[in-house]
Amino acid sequence: MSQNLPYTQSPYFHIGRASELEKKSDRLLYRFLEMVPALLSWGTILGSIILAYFVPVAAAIFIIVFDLYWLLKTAYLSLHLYNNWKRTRHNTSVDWHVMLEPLKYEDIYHMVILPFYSESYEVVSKTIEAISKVDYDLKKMIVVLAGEAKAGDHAELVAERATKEYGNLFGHFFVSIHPAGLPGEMPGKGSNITYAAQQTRIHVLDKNSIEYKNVLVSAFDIDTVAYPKYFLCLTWYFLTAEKPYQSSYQPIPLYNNNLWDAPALSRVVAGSGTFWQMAQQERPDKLVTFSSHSINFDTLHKIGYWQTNMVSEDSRIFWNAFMAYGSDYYVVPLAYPVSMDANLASSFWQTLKNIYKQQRRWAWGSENVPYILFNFIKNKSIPLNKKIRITFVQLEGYWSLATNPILILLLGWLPVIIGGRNFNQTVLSYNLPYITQNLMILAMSGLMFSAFVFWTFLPEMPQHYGRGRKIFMFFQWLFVPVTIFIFGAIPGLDAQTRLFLGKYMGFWVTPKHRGKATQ
Amino acid sequence: MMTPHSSRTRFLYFIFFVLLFISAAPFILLYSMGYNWGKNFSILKTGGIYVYAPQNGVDVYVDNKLDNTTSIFQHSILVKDLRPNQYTIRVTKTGYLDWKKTVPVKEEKVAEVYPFLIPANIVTTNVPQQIHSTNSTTSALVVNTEYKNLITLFATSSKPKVPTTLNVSTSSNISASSTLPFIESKKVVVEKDGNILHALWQGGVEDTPFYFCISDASTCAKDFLVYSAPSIGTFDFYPNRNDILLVATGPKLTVVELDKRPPQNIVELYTSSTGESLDFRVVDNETLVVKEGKKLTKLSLVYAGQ
Repeated sequence: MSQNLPYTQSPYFHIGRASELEKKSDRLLYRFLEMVPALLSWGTILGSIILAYFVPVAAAIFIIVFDLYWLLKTAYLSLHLYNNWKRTRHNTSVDWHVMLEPLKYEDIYHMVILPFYSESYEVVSKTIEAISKVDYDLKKMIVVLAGEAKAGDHAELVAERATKEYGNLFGHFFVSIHPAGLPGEMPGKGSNITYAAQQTRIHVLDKNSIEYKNVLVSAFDIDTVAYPKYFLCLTWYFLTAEKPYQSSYQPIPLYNNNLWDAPALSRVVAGSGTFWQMAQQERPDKLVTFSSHSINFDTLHKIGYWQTNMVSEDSRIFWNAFMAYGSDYYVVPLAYPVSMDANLASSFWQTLKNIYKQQRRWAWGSENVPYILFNFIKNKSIPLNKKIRITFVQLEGYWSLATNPILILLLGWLPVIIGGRNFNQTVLSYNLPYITQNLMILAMSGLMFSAFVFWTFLPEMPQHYGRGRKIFMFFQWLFVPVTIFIFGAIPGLDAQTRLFLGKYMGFWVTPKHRGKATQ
Repeated sequence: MMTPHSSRTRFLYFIFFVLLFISAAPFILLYSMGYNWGKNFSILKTGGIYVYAPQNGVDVYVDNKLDNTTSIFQHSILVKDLRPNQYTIRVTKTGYLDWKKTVPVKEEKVAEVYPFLIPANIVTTNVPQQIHSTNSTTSALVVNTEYKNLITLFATSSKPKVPTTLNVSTSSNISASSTLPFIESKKVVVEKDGNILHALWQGGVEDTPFYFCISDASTCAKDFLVYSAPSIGTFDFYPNRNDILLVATGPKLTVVELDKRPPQNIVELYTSSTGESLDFRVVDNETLVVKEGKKLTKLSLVYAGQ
């Protein structure tokens, strides 16, 4: 880690959980901060129930005000979604060669790290195949296939086959096999890609005297398929960024690889994730790296790579950099997509279970809350107003995920049910269901726009599917009230409760399964 | 190159939505609580009346003005924005007797009414003791099975349709005079004391039905006098309702509602043609059977059409 970035030397910089801290007071503080997301969420839910029983009028007022807040928040996010949709349409049609013409980009290398565990060769191959077809000088592409020793022969066999098939297509094709059980590491993507990046530095960058500042690292998932102009777009944004070395670069995650084969619930959950990321892209001050993202290698090296002792390395790398640069670090939204797999398993029930587990892993991102708050307390170089704003944004984000669907779908009716006789005779009691229902219908009408946006991003339909499936791609959005509850609030609460109890989650690898059409 | 909106534009968006929230929230809240606009933009406190009509196609009038009509999807109607006052709700449906009730409306409160609809012309069917059994060659009088089945309903052992004498040791909480005949439905007990029918509430205070709380909603009565008439015989709840009674008084079968807000709707359903005292039983949700001596007559509670 860099001497130029003093906070990277702090014992708190790469902290994963409370027990890793030496001082008891620090451990207690961090442990308390780990409890904050669950305290807020459970406090809201239980508080609403208690309020509905003892002061139903106050509970009804809270619910109506909350419904209005949710309606306006939906409209506000839809506005951003619309702006990003326009920008994405523009970015996917613009001639990036022309855009890059006035810029010197011939020296820019792209290191693409592809971590895999037990995924089939077909999944690995499709991702590398897509990179081999990108519109960028392949001599400047460094493809890193990052396997896990824990996967046994499988990793080596896949790597060997991929090297044979694709090894000569790129400037550099490097295979790293992450050893199992390195001290202080948690098995998962973070430890794997950190090992791979370090090995690539030694064996590729240093060996070939490639300047770190000229290398953009893209940490992909093994199912991340890059569209042909992706690296041109990324290069342009890097070269035109206000602070290129103090920025991460975030594409929009689409889940188009197997979209036609995935069940409706899986598509809706995946699409909702895409919309959230699109809306965030229009609010760069709130954007945090997620899933596949890019960063300059020099910056990555200086901040000590991805954390290896926690699950949510994709978002944590942003917070590491943010702390290291004293908050002078940014995420540049690319408004350009990459495509990944929607959840799909061999059976419908298994698909649902996988969706739940994936959503819970993403919701486990709440482990960033104690990290951020703790480092805000320790890091004096960050302005107070930024600390306050970010604290609010982060807490509100995780609180919303875990509580809003429950407040809207369940607790809106609670004062009527448990509010008692006196409350049930009030106009407020009779109006509460009507007002809630009408505000929610208004909010849900925004789904029409979501359905339209989703439609415009649909990949070509495989021939063996009929027109009915295409039409259902529109009406599937009626499942949203179900998905935000079962695959939003519940896994969100689950993850926060585990963090509250100190039952830390490990990294769960989402199984990649594709239907016949997309294999 | 298209870029995200500047932070200033985003801030303006944000402020716009915040202002929208701040300005809309008080209006929505006040409206939800029963406040409304009066003349010259004055703010009025209003109340409402909740009408639950058990059928679709029921017209609900407020002070003789049609307010709404129930549908297949909505049997309940909330009459909103009523200034505190007395209002008369009239409920009508073709083929049924009109139902009326005058209720007081208070600020921010909703008065409940649960109308019942009785067909204007009750269809009666005599159930003969014997019927002709005809085969290809002969015709003979045989016992009517339907009569045989229905008459068994009047045997004293037939429960639970028949009012029974209360066993003090098992239900001592019913009332002090718990040897009186009573009926019970969903914790509403109606007992007969001579020529008087009393209603008693056996549930918790919070769940007290509205008709126990007519005089003062905050302090509901535990019991009240429902009906008095000479020679009250059999009494039972109207099918599917615990706020309406069927009462046999001498030669008459009468429907009496427990809701005593004026007018307490009391409808004569059937009168014995012979003038002798009658007895009755509820057969199912739509049918009663009346017994006058040995004569049995079935009454249909459903409008039979033109």
